[in-house]
Amino acid sequence: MGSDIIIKSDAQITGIRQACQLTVAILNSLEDRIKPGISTGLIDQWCAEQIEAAGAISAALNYQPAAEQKPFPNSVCTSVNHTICHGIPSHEKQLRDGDIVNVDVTVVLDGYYGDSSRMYLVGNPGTLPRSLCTGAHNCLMRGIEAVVPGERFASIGAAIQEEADQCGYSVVREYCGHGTGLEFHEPPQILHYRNSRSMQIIRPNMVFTIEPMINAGERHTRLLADGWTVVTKDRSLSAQWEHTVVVTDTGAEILTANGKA
Amino acid sequence: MAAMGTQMNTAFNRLLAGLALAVPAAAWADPQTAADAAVVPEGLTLQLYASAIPQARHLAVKEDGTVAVGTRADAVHLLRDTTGDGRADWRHEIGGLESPNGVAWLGDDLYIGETARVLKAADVLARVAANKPVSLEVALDGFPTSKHHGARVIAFDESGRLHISLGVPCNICMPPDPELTGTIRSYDLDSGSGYSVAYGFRNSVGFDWHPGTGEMWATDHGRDWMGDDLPSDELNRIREPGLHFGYPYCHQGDLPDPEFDDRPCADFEPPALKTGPHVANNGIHFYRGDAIGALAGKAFIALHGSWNRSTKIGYRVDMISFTDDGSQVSERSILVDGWLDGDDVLARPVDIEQLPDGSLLVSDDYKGAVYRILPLDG
Repeated sequence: MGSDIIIKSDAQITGIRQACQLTVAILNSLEDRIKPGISTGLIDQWCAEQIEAAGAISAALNYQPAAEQKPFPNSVCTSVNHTICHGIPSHEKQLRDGDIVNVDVTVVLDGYYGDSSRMYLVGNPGTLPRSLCTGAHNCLMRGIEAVVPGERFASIGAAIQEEADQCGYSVVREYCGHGTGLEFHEPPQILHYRNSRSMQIIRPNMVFTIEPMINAGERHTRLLADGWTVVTKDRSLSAQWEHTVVVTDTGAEILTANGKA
Repeated sequence: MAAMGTQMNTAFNRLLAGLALAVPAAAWADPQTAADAAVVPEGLTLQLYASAIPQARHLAVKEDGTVAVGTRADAVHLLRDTTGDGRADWRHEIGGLESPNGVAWLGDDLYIGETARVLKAADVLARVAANKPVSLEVALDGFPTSKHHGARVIAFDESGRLHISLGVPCNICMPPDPELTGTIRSYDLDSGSGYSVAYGFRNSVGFDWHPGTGEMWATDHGRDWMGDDLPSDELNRIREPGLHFGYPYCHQGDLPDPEFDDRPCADFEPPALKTGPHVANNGIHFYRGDAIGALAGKAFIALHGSWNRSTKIGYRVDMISFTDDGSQVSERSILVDGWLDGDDVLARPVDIEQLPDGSLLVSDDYKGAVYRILPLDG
């Protein structure tokens, strides 16, 4: 299976980095704009405008992974509160004070993919949603710290699970991070939970996303009838942060790092 | 955007779909296949004792032969062979529990170890027989709540003190509470007072007392991510209370930790036996009596099997012999083999206990089963 993972050239990494930085710029632009009363449809519109202005295209728009599945109808995913991922933006869906929302942006720029997502606090959420968002970010960063060339991909899931366990959160299993850069989803799967399946060795110049979905309650998921929206089965809150990383000689470089931070 | 298990129409999709389907199919295959595949020493045989016990973990046998099976699900299962055919034909499930991994009998009372507390089911068999609900009261409370290494093992010593193993909530870290993490503790249930019998454990998932010396012996899992061959798991002899077995500073008695290297291995008690890297040695049981001569004087260790080693290891039950004074390991052999076929796992043994007739029980959380080892002519 290891041979399936694409080792990117330096030129390819340069292209992927540019695509990744476009996602950062888009996500940064939302920081001051997401507030109570705006709709997720408007967030999608803002993102679509910026993607087009940059001469890129959205990887999510019309994404149809299987013939029997409806194409994804929007440019970004907006996942609010108990929605784990792949929430469909809607002008009918207005954000309320206290909500938390994930915006997931994947762009294709000059043929290269960049993929990143971030949590936004809407107004003034309570302690639990704030803690969950912080905890989910800690999980992501623990996972990135575990990216060490020569180690196995399983170390990423183990680190994330360890962090989640200590906070009493659960880790979603049905959806995973993935290789990316030349295609939207490339091998390998990046499992975010403790597992013994991800035995491939991490090697320099591999590019992949880490995007743990962390639930305040149980880990179990439910797919809604729209074929895309994934929610927590117990309707507990869920949070997710995502970075695209490239493996260096000593660790990971976050290609979607926020220059503001 | 997260990748989805079965919804991508690429070669990658086929890979994902295969992964998604493989686990349940393998995990819930008929446990009889594991029983049939088991290889035991000449003169012994292994049979299926009970099945359909999701995540069957630690075992406790009452004097009358009633078997309590702890799980990492939400129930403890009570089993008994009432017909003498060697299989459990009576069972009762105590549900509504949270990861009730540990079980121990004290007279007619069953104690259940959840992650953060120990519950007492007083006079449980009489209540079940009278169709009364099982009464659960909290016997001990306040243990760490982390699920990481949060499957508790409990057992009573001969004086009736309850012992509990408390793992650390991490792979490698400084134990956040020096008494309640990385220790094995002993409690007087009447007063609730306790003390740490031993320190420096990462996660002991099994302990028992040598019937000749009265000393506790405890298994310990070594840390992860130091490669395929390091460090070894440990079998530790607690020759006196208060010993420190090295974690997080020193592993396997002679391997300093690369992160916590500020205390030398010489400061700590070395293991009595290095049981192997990543084998995940869990339950240990000292054989009592001599009903099966080949087993007399031995101890048995369940090697649950590796989860992150490139080549799988473990997945068997080992048999340990001791020097005459019971202070050292003299020999190691295999009691149950045949549960690892290349990369295919047939069973993952967790714990070993002994029925009143001298036969042994082995639990398996992979197939959700309990097996029985007995003489071939038994």
